[in-house]
Amino acid sequence: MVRLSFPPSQGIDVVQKARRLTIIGLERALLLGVVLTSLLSSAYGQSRYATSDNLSGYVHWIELYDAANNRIAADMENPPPYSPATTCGRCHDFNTISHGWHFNSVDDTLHGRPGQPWIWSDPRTGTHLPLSYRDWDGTLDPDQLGISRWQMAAKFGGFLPGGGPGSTESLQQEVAPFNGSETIDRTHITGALPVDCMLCHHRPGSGYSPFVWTEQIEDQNFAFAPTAALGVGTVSGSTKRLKDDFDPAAEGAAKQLPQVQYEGERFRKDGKVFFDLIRTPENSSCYYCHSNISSNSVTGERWLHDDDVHLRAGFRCADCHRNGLEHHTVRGFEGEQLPAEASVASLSCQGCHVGDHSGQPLEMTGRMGAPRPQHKGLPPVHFEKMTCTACHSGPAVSPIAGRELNSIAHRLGTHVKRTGNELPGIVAPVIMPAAEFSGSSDEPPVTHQARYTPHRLMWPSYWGTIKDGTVTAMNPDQAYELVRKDLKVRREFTEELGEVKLSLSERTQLLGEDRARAKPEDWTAEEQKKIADAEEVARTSQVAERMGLALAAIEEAMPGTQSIYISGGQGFVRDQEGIKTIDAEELKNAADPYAWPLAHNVRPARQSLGATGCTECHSDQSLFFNAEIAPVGLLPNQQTTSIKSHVLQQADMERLGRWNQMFQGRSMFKVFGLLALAVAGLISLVMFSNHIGSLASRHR
Amino acid sequence: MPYELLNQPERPEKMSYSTLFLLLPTERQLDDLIHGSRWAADGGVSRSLPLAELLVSPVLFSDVLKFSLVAVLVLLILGAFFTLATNRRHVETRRRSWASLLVFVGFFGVVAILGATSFGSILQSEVMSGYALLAHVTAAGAFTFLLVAVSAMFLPRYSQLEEAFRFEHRWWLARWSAWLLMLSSLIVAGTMFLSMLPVLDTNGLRQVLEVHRYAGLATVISAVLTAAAIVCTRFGWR
Repeated sequence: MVRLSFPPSQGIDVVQKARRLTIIGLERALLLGVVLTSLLSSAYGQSRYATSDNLSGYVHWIELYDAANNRIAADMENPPPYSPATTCGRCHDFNTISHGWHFNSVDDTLHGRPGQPWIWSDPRTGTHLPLSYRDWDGTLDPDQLGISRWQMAAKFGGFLPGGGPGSTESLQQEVAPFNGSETIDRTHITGALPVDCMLCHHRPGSGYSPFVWTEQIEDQNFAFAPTAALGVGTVSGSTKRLKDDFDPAAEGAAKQLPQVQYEGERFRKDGKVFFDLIRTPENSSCYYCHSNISSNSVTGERWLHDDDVHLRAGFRCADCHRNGLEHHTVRGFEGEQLPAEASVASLSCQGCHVGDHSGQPLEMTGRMGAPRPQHKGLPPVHFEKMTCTACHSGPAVSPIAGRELNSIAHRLGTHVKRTGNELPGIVAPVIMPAAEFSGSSDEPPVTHQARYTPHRLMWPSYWGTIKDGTVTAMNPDQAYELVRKDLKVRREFTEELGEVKLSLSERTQLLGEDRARAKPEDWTAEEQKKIADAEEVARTSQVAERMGLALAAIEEAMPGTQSIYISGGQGFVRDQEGIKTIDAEELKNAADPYAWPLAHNVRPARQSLGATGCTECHSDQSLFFNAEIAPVGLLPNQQTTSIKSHVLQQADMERLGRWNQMFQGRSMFKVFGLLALAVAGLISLVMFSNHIGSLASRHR
Repeated sequence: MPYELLNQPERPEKMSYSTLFLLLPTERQLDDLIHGSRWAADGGVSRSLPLAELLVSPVLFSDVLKFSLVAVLVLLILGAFFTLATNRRHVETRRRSWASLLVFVGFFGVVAILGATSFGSILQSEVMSGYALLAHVTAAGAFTFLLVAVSAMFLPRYSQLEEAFRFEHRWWLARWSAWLLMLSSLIVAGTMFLSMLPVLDTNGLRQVLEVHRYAGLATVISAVLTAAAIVCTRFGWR
């Protein structure tokens, strides 16, 4: 490969040009910068920026710059927050970096293998919608739902390294309002969601706090989040409290915006600040957004769980999930190709542990001493039918797939008491054929499709409408506006919708006047049952009534449609008696769960599926085919039907049953078969010797 | 270092001569088979043994299979014409006992099932799966135990047989096709059991699978020839 780099003076010229252009207007300068960078980068395949190239790393004593590219001093009056784009972008190709995998979710061309969706949760309406801008079958496009890019940035930006839907380019995208309702967009107040390099590149223990980053995003202090998270200054105030019609340019408006107060002692005399950063992100940085924990971890059983074997062996996440300057982080599935068409075969399980031997750096097997698996006696057909992760990754299969919590969906990091049953209900592992790849950039070979792969899975719940037999999800905010009055739910849908309290007269009717006034804990078991039964009847009636009214409100607002609430694989529509349940089959794909492959934690070989023998899977009761998956329904008392994993696998259980019979008495078969073979071989040998001897004697 | 040396293609991996008769694919070739033949595409083919290349390609095996089946069919037709045309009558061989007849019929039947399920699948979809695989595995068990009975049919019984019917006096095709059938059957069954034991790793198992499928082809061909020879000798045509 030809490597070219600019002499330092040439690089400075480009920067000076950009500086001069700031007087014309920041937007035009940025545009020129983008064009220049793109042209230069694409022409030479390398960044135009100088690099130290010393493996010891670079000690970052650097000056802080604000978004307008002005240097920040600690003693400034009303100092602006620092901008990673201008501060880090002085020496790093910020434009290229900010279009990598973590930032390009709104890009049309990059889809990749289906992954974890952004789950739009509104606990007030029982809404949990899997969203993605990528073409992942089963997710909904936020643009189609009339959810603005700004809303997405505000909702999920706390667990994003910035950019993405909140980038300047993305925020310029017009999102059509849903059914005439207004889209919520406060970009004019908050500005774009800045990319914060330090979210990933901070050294753990340096004082950088991703938790503060999230808090600032939740306060809609987009521009202030990097400063507050870095700890170089404190931020007071909240943009969230400003009204939608707030004009930041108006007289006196600046006082209402958040204020920064820099920590003077963090600045050296020459005005430089120490950034304690590292080139390769540490695991804790990845974990902030990518923690997946089983529900029992939050109820005191965390100590029972081991880490991923690779991490226990000293690996970092970024050793496999690595990237070049362009930050197209390798996801690590087989058949993955980066946008530049570079193969990263050796960064998947199979590529690293089995792989090939070509001389290409990213295709060479055995990286970092990866042992080659023996799999002695395991028929190779298993590798055609299953991914490595099917046996080695995720929680071990259990009779009922367990609940999981993850950073983004359950906002792990915020300090609250959890029960493990928080919504959205995500279950794992669900072993089923991998969802097919989408998009053209990384279409895998046919052999890599539809192999058994462990998944995480969730059932969407949302309000929608039916027209011509097709269910359309509603914008969650619009749904809230329409149903809130009738649902009478302030915070938590399931809990409040099913909350009933019998009046004194009702209790008197059931228990008599004396006992009705007694404290509940003083009631006898019989009395408690009477009350519970009566509450149950009242609850059913209340749910039917409120849901019926809420569904009617939607139908009134959207004439010509039938309203529906979908939850736990079922649909609920209005009828004369309140609400009626519609099964998933009648809803086409509208109530289907969304599943995405999981790959971690990788378990030790001796804890892998099949480690104890063939019958672990090849038996009638095997959990591989018979684990139960229970849909998570949100309506109070919703009766959902558990399904066996073989249903999702679309496995031929009759054939599997016969196949399983082959494994009964397999050990005896091996013994007798080998004996038979030995006898046959011996007889043949003796007979052949006789035959040869006889022929020889004839010739003599 | 001279420029020529710098531009030498990558040194081919050492062949696994010690393992299986010089002809089996190397670990790398098997990898290419599974992960796509990038190595082969960059010039690796010319550095490998041609027959090994033949062995690693499932497409080529299906071609070999088609060619072999057609060749056997042509051979049988030509043989039948030749036999009938020359019309050299021989003494009809003595009929075997009903037990041996049963064993032979059973054995040939099982071979037919094994051949149909495996080669039929390969010809149809390149892979064996589903009910075809189930039937194949079931028949394989019967094949192993019938093999003992068939081998017992070859036991020397000079005291019981007339000199003319001694094995070494039979038609050469009957004798050598029977030996080929026994040898290939032992290899087929042996490779099957070997792959069921926790002895070989994945590459070893894949190599054994290659041996298994070619030995299986040899078994089917020799079974057809043996059956033809038996028919000829029974009717006294040879």
